[in-house]
Amino acid sequence: MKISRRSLLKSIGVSVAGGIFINGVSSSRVFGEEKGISKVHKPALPPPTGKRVVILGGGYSGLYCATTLRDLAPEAEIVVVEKYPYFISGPSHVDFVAGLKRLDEVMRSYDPIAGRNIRIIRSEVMGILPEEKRVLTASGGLEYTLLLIATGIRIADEDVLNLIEQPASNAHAWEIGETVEMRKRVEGFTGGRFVVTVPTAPFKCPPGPYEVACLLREYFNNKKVKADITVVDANDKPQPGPLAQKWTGVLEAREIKYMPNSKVVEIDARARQVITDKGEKVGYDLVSIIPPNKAATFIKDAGLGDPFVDVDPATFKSKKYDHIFAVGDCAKVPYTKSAFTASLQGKSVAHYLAMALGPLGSDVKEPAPIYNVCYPYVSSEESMMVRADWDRDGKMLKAEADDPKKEYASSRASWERGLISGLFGA
Amino acid sequence: MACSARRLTVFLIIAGLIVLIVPWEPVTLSAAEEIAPSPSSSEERVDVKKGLVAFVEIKTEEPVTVYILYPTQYTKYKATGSADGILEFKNITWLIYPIPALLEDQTVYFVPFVPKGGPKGGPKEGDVLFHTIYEDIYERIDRLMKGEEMLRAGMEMAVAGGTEVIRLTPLIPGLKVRLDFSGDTRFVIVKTIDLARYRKGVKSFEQLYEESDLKGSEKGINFSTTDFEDLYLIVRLIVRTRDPVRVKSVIHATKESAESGC
Repeated sequence: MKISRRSLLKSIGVSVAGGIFINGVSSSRVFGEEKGISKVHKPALPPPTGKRVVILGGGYSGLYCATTLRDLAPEAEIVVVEKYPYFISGPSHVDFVAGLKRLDEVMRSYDPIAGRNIRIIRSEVMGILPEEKRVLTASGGLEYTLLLIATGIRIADEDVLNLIEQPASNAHAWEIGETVEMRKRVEGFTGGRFVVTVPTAPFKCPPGPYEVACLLREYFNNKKVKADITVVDANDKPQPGPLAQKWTGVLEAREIKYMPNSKVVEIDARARQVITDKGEKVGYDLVSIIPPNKAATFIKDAGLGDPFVDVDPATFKSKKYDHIFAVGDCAKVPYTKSAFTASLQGKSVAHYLAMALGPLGSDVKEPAPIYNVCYPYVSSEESMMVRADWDRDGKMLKAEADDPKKEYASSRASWERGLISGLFGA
Repeated sequence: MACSARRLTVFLIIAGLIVLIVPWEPVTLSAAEEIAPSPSSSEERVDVKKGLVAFVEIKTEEPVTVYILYPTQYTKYKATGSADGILEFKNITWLIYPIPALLEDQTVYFVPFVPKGGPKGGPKEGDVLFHTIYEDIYERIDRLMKGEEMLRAGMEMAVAGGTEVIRLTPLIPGLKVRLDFSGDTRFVIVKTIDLARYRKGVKSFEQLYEESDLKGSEKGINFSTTDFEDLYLIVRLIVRTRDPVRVKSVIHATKESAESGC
C-alpha cells in the first residue's frame, strides 16, 4: 500500500479537527494549501547533507540504538524524536505506584545523550511517508536516510467501551501521566475494592499487573488499609504463561482474588464497575484497567504493519522497506516486551543500521543474539527471576525461572541501575 | 507421527468415540510422548516436565463443565469447594488445552462435572475421556519455524440456546482457524469492542452481520488471523432442534505465528 502525502494529511487532518494535534494549530491554517501548507510541511531540520538516521522514540531501545550507532558510524547524523522532555525508566513505574521509589530517582535529562553528538528533538510523530523517506512531526517534516521506529506501545483506550468518554475513571502504571495519577489514588485509598485488569497478551511488561497487585497488597497491609484486591485477567492464566503456576500460588498466598479468562470490555464509572466479555460485573472503589497494548496508529497508516511493525526478527528491518527498521515494543518480534530486551534490540539494530549506511559502517560485525532477564516483584523484598535466550533468527533456545528470593530484589535494583547508567552514566 | 495417529484412531474406535460429529484431529507428533488415554469422570492430574508442552484432550459425548486448576487452587477447591479464580470451560464435548512448561515443571488438575440443571442422562462414571500428549517445546518451535503447521488449540461446545457467544482466544497473527457447526446456524465473528456494543444493545446481531467480513450461514468457515485482536463468534441457531448444535473450533499454528512470540 503506497501512502500518499495527500491521504496522510487527510488522516492527520481528522486528528487535528479532533483536537489531538498537540501544537494546537487551527485546522484552517494546517490545511492552508492542500488545502494548504501546514506546519507539518515545514522542515523540522534542514535536509541532511550526509547520511541521516532518524530514530522515533527516546526510550530504552531508541537511545541504546543511538548511542551504539554513534560509536559504529561516527560520521552519521543521528536524530532522536521524543515527545517527553525527560527520560523516565519504565520498570520503575510499579515501584513508584507502590511507594518504593520517587520518579525523580529514575528520571534523567537527555543532555548527556545530546552531548554525544546526538540531536534530540522534542516533538510528536504524526506520520511516516516511506516513499519520500520523510517523517512528519508536530514540529515539521524530517528527511532521513534510514529510519528506526522505537515508539513503544500505545494504550488502546478505545478498545474498552466508555473509557475514552470517562478517562478520569481509570489510572494505571503503563504510561507516565497515568502512573503519577495512580500513585495519587493509591495514597488516597481508604479501603474497599481494588481491581486490576489485564489485557490479552502481548502487552508491555507481562508480570507487571501481578507485581502491582502484590506490591499494593503489601502497601495497604502496612498502612492497615483493608483492601479486597481482584485481578481480572483476559488471559487464561497469569502472564507470562510459563510463570503461571508460580503466580497463582503467589496470588493465593496474598489473598488476591484471581479471575482468569475474563476480558474487561466496558467500564461503568457511575456504577463503579467493570464489565467482562462474559457479562460479569465487578465492582470497584479503585480501578486500574490496563487497556490493550498496540503500536502507534501512524504505523498502520504507513502500511508498515498492524498493529505492530512487520520486521525480520534477525535484522529488525521492515519486511516492506529496506530503509526502515523497528525495535522494542512496537515491533512484531518474538522477544518479550521488556526494558531489557528493548535495550539489547536497540544495540543490535544499531549494527544493522550501520551496515546499511554503507561505507560508514562497513567494518561492523553481526551483533550478539537477544536474551531477556528480569526480576518480577512478589513483594518489596522478594523477586522471582526469569531468563530466556533466543538465536539470531528469533527462535527461543532456552529459558529458566527461579522462585522468589530476597537476593533477586537487589538484583532487580542493580539490573535497572545498569540499564540507566549504560545510557546516562552513574 | 503416522504411527501415533493410527494408535489414537484405533483407541477411539474401541472407545466408541469416533462417531462424534467432527472427525478426529490428531495432534502432530514427532518425538512426543503419549500417555495412555484414561477414562474418568472425576479428575485428571497432569504433570509436565520443564521443556515440554502437554496437550490435554478431553472428550465426552454429553456436555460437561471442566475446571482447570493449578495446585494451590486445587487444594483450596478441595478444602472449601470454592471455584474462585478457576479457569472454567462450559458445555464442552471436546477440548484440547496446551500446558507449556517452558521455565519450570507444571502441574495442572482437570476436574470435569455436570453442572446442576445440566442435560438429563449426562455423563456417568467413565464417560469423560482424557488423553495427554507431550511434546518438546523447542522441537515444536523448530518444526514451526521450518514451515510445519501444528495444532495449537481446539474446542467443541454444545449450543442449546438461541444465540451464543464464544470467545476465540488467544489469537496472534498467522494462526489458521477452522470453525464447524453441526446444525443450521447464522454466525458472525467480531472484535472485542463490537462484542461490548452488542452486549450493551448498541449494535444488533443484524448490524454486526451487515458490517463484518467474517460471517455466514454455512456449516463452517476457515480464516487466518492477521493481528492480535481477540475475536468472538456470535452464533445464532436458525432452527431449534431437540439436540444442541455443536460448534467446533480448531486452531493451527504456523511459522508466522511462531515469529509473533506467543
